[in-house]
Amino acid sequence: MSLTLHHIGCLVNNIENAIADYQILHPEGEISEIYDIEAQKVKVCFFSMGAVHMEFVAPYGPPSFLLERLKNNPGFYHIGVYVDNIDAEIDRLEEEGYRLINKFISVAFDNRHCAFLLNKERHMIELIERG
Amino acid sequence: MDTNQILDELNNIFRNVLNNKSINLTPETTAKDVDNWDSLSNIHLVVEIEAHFKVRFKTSEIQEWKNVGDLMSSLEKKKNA
Repeated sequence: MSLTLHHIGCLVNNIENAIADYQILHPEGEISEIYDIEAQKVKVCFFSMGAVHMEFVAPYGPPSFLLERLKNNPGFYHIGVYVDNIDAEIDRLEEEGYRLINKFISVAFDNRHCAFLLNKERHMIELIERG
Repeated sequence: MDTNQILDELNNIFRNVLNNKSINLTPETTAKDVDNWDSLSNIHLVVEIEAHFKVRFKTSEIQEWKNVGDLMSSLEKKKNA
């Protein structure tokens, strides 16, 4: 089963600066509102680059693994893909060795169900249930 | 593999994953005692531990761990099985 890529998640210190940097590559890119995902202590903003979006993710306090990662290794850190049935997809991927990190409802996706998983290569994958 | 060796190796994994050389785990250590040991880093830790010790934990096992001692017990059972 192939999943459709929606976005590339990118850890940034400053969303406005990231947008300005990517507008150099893609001046006509559409910019979403900035969402505050309180449960994860991150602010996110989408920047469209054709069919794929950049998701700029700016973590804020208190200290967290993501903040630490931003300090040491900012940049691309996950991909987001659309799925039709998130629970079925989580089950399938777990059987294939992926690890579920968390499942949540995201205001950045119209309160749809999303989930983060880690694969055996330690890459993070976000599933987004289609509306 | 004895308990001290497992604890030493876990300590190294925690230090590397959490990028914190001051971590000194004991069996009583919980997530609250270690900076940045949160739900995201926990899965990174699990994946590293599984690769290092060549074991595979069930999700239900992971959810039962209350401290490092519980993790060590799970590991010892698998390594000695």
